[in-house]
Order: sequence, then structure tokens, then C-alpha cells
Amino acid sequence: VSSRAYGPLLDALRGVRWPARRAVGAALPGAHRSRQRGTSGEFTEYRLYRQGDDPRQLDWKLLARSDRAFVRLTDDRAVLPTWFVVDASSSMAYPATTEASASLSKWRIACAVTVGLAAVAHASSDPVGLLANGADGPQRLSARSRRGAVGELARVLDLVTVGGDQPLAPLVSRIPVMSRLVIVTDLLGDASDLVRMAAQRAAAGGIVECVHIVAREELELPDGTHLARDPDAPAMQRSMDRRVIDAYRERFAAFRAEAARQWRATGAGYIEVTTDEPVARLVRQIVSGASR
Amino acid sequence: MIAFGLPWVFGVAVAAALTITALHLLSVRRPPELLLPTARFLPERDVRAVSRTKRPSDVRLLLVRVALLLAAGLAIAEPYWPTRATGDVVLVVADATVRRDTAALERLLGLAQTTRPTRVVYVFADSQRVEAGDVAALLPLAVRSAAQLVQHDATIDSLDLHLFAREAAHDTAAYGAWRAVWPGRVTTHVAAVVSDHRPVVIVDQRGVGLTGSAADQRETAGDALRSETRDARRDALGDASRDDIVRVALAWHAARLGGETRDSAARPDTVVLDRRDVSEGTPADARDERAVERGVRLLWPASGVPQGWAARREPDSVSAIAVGGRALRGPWAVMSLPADPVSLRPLAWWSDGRVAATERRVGGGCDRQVALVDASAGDVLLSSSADALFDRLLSPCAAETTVAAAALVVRGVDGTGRASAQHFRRPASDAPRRVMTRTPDTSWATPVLLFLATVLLFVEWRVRRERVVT
Repeated sequence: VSSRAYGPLLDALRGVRWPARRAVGAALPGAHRSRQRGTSGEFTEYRLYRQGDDPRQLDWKLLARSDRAFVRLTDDRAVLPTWFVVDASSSMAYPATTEASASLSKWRIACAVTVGLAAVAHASSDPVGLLANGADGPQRLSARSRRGAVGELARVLDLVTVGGDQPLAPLVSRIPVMSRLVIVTDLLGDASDLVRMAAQRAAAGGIVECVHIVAREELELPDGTHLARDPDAPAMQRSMDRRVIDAYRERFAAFRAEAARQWRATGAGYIEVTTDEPVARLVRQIVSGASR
Repeated sequence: MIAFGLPWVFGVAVAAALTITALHLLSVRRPPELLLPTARFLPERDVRAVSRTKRPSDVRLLLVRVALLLAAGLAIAEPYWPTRATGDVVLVVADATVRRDTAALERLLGLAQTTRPTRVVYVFADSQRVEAGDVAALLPLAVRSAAQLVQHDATIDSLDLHLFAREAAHDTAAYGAWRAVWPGRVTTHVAAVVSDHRPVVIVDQRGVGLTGSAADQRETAGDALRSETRDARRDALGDASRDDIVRVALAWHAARLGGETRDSAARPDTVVLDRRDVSEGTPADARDERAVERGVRLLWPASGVPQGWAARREPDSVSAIAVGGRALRGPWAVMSLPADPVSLRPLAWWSDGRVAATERRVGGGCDRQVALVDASAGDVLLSSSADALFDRLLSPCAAETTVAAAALVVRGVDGTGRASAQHFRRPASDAPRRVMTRTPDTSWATPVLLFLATVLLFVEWRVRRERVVT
């Protein structure tokens, strides 16, 4: 899929902003509220001068009028590097896109969501970076905010070969803590390791978002009798017919509910998206904070 | 139309064939594979899927298997081509002296040559229950068997009774009484030649003979028998009675049977009388050296119990001893009973049915134990009523082995006409029906079908193997 194919999506997301869920640390000036108080032009409040304050922050006109020394306080704005870790294991290739089936695979939806979120972040001058665990090994694109960064990200995604069962947690450990980490996965791999790392990052002040991709075909199993085989674990084979569907639905729903509970308990954001939803709407839901 | 001796076996084979056919209509296969990343949430079940199909799978294998099952079932179910048969039954009742060779008995009865199928029912009496040669005891057995037959088979119209025994005594009151119960003809078959055995008696295990010569003893005993009163008999017997009445009686009956009495063993078929008192539990003595190989050792203790018998705590009185269809009236006292009556052949019975004398095989000869220890009735042993008892005791050991059917001849036909089954049937039983019987020329079917089944088994293995290879 060419990066040009994302054009309608990017058009639909024009003007959308994705503020950080909390104040970010010190960084280059950007769009996100910083925990630092600085000297930006956006005035916030006055405070009595205390010894040691920078005399340049004194409001001299106020001092002249009231003979009292106040310093001008302003909130700093900083950029927030946003990293996308995209799961490219074999399970993400499901369902296989055929002529008979118009539905997109989980990988295609993951790519579209990633590009859309990257575009939204990049619109706020945030650097965007990418890590993906494809069959050919990890693909990495350093976080950058220059023009065309989203296009580069889309091209890297196009180069990723879906397959294998490489874990995501080692990739996450390479990303700086003071950044926004977006994990796009179906949580059928090393989900427990991801949750543990997300908890560590959140405790360290990082921002973690989990986008759980679920295929519509996984929610509604096809009719007939089949021998279901897990692409991530070929040895796992289960008989699938209408007699076991109820039990399957029950177990899968319990798994998703438990995943949501665990991710949110760590302080991370969690949102479940299905493959038949419009990607632009999914992106808007994510940036609006629906994952919290 | 074919019929079966064991129809349930063929039914089982047909059921198995239907089951195999049903299984061939079920297709056990692996369903199409589907990649599903969430397969781990499916419950664990057998990955094979069973589905029904309209056409049987592997028709060739199915046909071979069905043919194999049917052939095996046919072979084991004893197939035959039935023909119409009458409801006439030949009832053959034989005592233990007749060899159990039904084919030979059928030939003797002339049934094998007849073109009209006849049902033959054999009843072989147990020597423990029916005394050999006691035709009177065979008759109630025949009546009871006939009643059971007609109750279980409503197709029986009539019965023709044939009694088989090595010897037969008809001149008993019991025979007359039971003969009146049987409503039809009774044909008795006995051995054509009865052994002309003449016993040689050695009356004492110590080799001590009777007082005086054997001729004198016969004369003395004959005088006693001819005497009118008991006292006169005692006087006539004199010293012999005081010595041992059993020895006297044994010598007398041996003389009656044309034998002789000696003091030592000179011939192999002797009868040695052992009157020693043997208490219960005493080990059996080594066989007397003078009791030659084929001889009889008659263990008739003067007191106590015979070897291998158990003494009773309290003597029990009985009125008579029954042997050979005759009764030797007492009173008698039952002092002991055989410890293991099943392993012994009974020779005489008390009137209440318990065993009074037994025979036990020892090598080529035998030991005969007699539990008659009541000396007060000794002179009865000299009467003609005791003939049957001493005939039995003086007979050779092998005298009552089974006799072949070929050696039997018709001794007599008592009465006319076949016995009607209605005589034995209860009023509520069903009306007679026609029955189907087998013809004898179907014996080839079983081996042929078994061979066919074996061939089909091999074919089935080949077809299955080809299927696996492909």
C-alpha cells in the first residue's frame, strides 16, 4: 500500500490535535503543556518576587505602579516525542484479504491507525518515530518532526513483512521514557510483558497508549466446521463448529475485558478497535481521550 | 429356504454388517483448516469431525466387510435347508452301562436310513441316580423327560420310548407300576451276550477258608435255606454260622453262581473277602498280594466302618437294602456313610436312598466296601432275596463298563402304539404345529463358509492396506 493511499485519511484528520494527557517534561518548545514554568509569552499569573528569582522576570511596570515586586509566571509548552510500536506478528495478517472478503486485515488497520495518529501528532510539531517487529526483524524509524516524517513512517510500514512471532516488549524498552508510546497490537503475543513495561513507564512519568486491534472475524466466527490453527503457534489446532462458538465468545470477551482492566490499571490508555470501523473515526476516538 | 441351528448368531452377524454400513455412511475426516489467531480461546475437542454422507465411503471395502461378516455368521450359525417333519419323537432312555454314542444308537434304531425326518431325544441316566440294569428306574425318568419335552415343544404329537441297558430286570413290582404310567409302547434293548462269569471266592484275606470243604459248606448252607424256621437254619449252619455268616453267605452265593471257593488265589478274577475291622481314619492297607491284579477285594468289616466311610453318631434304622431292582428287607442299621460318594460307584442303596455299598477302582481291580454290619440279620443273607446283592458283589470289576450300541439287541417290546403327547401335555398348552427339522446333508456348508470368510478377511486386509498406501 503506497503512502499515497493514506491521503483521504490524512485529509479527514486535518486540524485534529492530540494533546498529552498530562504535562510533559522539559523539552523543546511545542504544543503540549509542560511541567516547567518558563518565560514564554503566554502569561499565567503573578507571584511575589523572592530572593533568587531571575530579575528579568520582574514586571517592572507593575513595580513602578504599585511599588511592589512581582514576577510574571508563564507555562512552558513543549513538544512530546511520540513513538509507535506496531505489532507485525503473523496473527496481525488475519483476516487474509481476498477478493471475496472486502475486510482489511488487522495489520492494514494498524498501519492506517498508526499513520493517522502520527499525522495528528506531527501536526503539533511532535517528533514521530516507529518500531515494528516484522518477519524480517525489527524496523525502526527514529522520532523526527521534520516535514515529510509521516510519509517516511508510512513507507517504513509498507516495507514491513508481516510474520513471525517476535515479541514487542524488547522494542518498547528501547524507547525513551519521556515520550508518548503508542502500542498497536492484537495482544495475542507477549501481552503480559507489555503490560509490565507499560506499568514501569507510566510510573516513570511516561505516557502509554494501547490500541488493541480486533478483527471482526475474530468476534464472529465463520459458519461450518473448521480446524482452527493459530498462525503464531502452528501446533495449536482446535476443532471449531457451532457447538463451541458460545464458549469461544465467552472466553474471548473475558480475555479482552481482562486486558482492558490490566492496561488501565497501569495508568495507560486502552482502546479496542475492530477492523470494520472507519479509521478516521478510530483516530479521533483515540486522540479525544476515549482510551482513558 | 435356509434356516439356522443358531439363528441368533446370524442375527448378530447381520447387526454387525448393518453397523459397518452405518459407519461407512459416517465420514470421519479432518475438517478444512482455518487460520484463526484466537484459536486458543476455542475449547479443546477432538480435531476430527464426523459427518454423515448420503453415499457410503469406500464401497469396495464396505462390500468386502459385509460379505465377510455374513459368511462368518452363516458358518457359525449352522445353516441348513429345512424340510417338513412330523411331530413324532423317539425318546431314548439309557442307563450308565450304555455307551453314549448317539449315531450308533440311531443306526441301531434304524433312524439313519429312513427318509422321513425323525426327531430323537436322548436321555442318559447318571449311574449315581439310576442303578445299572434297573429298567424300572428308567421308566420314571422317561415319563419325566416326556412331560418336559411336550411342555416346551407344542409340536410333538407322539413319543416312541426305547430303553437301553446292559441288562434289564422286568419282573419287579416297580417296573409294573411305572409301566402302567407310560401310555404307549416300550422297547427294551439289552446286551446280546451277558458275561458267564463264575466267581472264585477267597473268603478270607488271611487265606483261611471255610470250615470244611466248599462242597460241604454248600450242603450246609443249602440245608439252612431249606429249613422252615430261623432256629432250624441256625442249627443247620452249625459252626459256619458261629464262624462268620458273611463268609458262609458269600460261599453259598458263589456256589449258586456256579463258582467255587478256595483258600488261596489261583486265578486272576478272584474275590477276596476282607472282614477286618477298619476303624474310621485308618490308612488303607497295601493291597493284598493274593488279591491279584484283576480281582475284587470285598471290604466287608465285621464291625466298625469300611475304609473311606464316615461313622454316624447315632445308628439309623432302615427297612431294606435295594439292589438290582430287588429289596433285601431288614431291619438294618445305617452305621456309616461314604465320605465322598461322588467319587465312588454305588452298588447298593438303603431303602431311603443312601448308599449302602460302593466300588472304587484300584489299579486293574477294585475295592468294594459294604456297610452292612448288622449280624442279627445274617440269615437273611442266605435267602433268595439277597441274590441280587451278592450277584453285584461277586461280579467282576469291569463287568459294568459301558456296552456299545452294536452289542445291544431288542429284548422285548412291551405294549403297542406310540405314546400320545397329549397324555403328557397340560390342558392349557398350545395345539400342535408343524415343525421344521434339518436334513443331514448340510455339514459341508460350515467349512466352505469358514473358508470363504478367511479369504474375505485376507481381501479386506489387502483392500485396507491399499487404501492406507494411497
